[in-house]
Amino acid sequence: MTRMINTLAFFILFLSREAKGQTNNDMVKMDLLKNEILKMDSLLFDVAFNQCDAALFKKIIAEDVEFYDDRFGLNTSKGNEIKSLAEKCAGTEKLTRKLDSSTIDKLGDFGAVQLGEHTFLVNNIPVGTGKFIHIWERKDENWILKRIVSYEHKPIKK
Amino acid sequence: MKINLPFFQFKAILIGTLLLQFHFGFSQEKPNSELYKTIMSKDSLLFDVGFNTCDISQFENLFTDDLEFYHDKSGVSDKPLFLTNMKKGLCGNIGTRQYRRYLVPNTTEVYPLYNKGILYGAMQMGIHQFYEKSVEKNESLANAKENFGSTARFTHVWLLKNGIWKLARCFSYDHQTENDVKTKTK
Repeated sequence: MTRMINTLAFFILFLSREAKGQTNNDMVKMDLLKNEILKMDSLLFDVAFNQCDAALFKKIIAEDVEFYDDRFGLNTSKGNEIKSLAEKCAGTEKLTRKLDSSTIDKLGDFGAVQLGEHTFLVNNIPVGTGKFIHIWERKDENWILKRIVSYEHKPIKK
Repeated sequence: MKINLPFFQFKAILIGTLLLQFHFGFSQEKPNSELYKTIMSKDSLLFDVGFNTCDISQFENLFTDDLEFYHDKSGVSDKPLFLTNMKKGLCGNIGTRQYRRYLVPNTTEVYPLYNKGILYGAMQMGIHQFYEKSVEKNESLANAKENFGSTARFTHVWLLKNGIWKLARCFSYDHQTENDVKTKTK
């Protein structure tokens, strides 16, 4: 009898350790994913958008990108997005974007969804805020931005 | 990124023109607005009729042909795959198994999408829960006990095509198996 209880106790211990290991493993995976997406966000905006690195911008944006904007409609042309960046960068004022907050969830084996809020600045002065949804696709070792929804654009009240 | 036009708007706002400030204000729809009610009626067709009663024709009608459905557990599906999965999966045992989607009250947000002043779409976000029940031996579906399945967040991009609202892009994520509407995001 004692032996049976010992065996049972062993199994229970073993099982709970297994379960805990699984949860920890999932959490580590989620942290890794979050870091990867935040790194991509930074590459896309802090480097490509804010510092006008068109080559990097081109690399991150998907060939079949879809950009749903709440003021200027749906754009499905990667070429237009690249043109927009070039026009922004040719201007005399410096338009930059700052990430305020975002949450990241995985989308199966496909990639990840990032929901967030950001602020746009002209010459370092905040002028407007907006919310966004980014659908990131994992392609081999790289991440590309596949779908963008940009909404609830608001001016910053002076 | 669409930058050229917003850039000029930012400039204009710096100058402080009232008109362009107004142009910025496409915020969340109020629950009594026309658009909110329209999207909610489509949501009801999709789920209360389509999903809860396994009326697949609702999905066929409401989805655009190029539907993209992104799910946190199962990845991506297109319209044909989604419909096949519904028929064979959730609706594969009508009479002995039933699923129900419950939209958590006061969680739905609707945002309009404009193209230079013309409404072309809407984005709907919310939290929903899924319940399921299966019949035991000699039991009718009506008497079967319903069990909680999961809570999830969703974002739907609806497009107005020739005056008809169609669901084009679905993002379903943050599935939790605990019966708690406080999902981790937001």
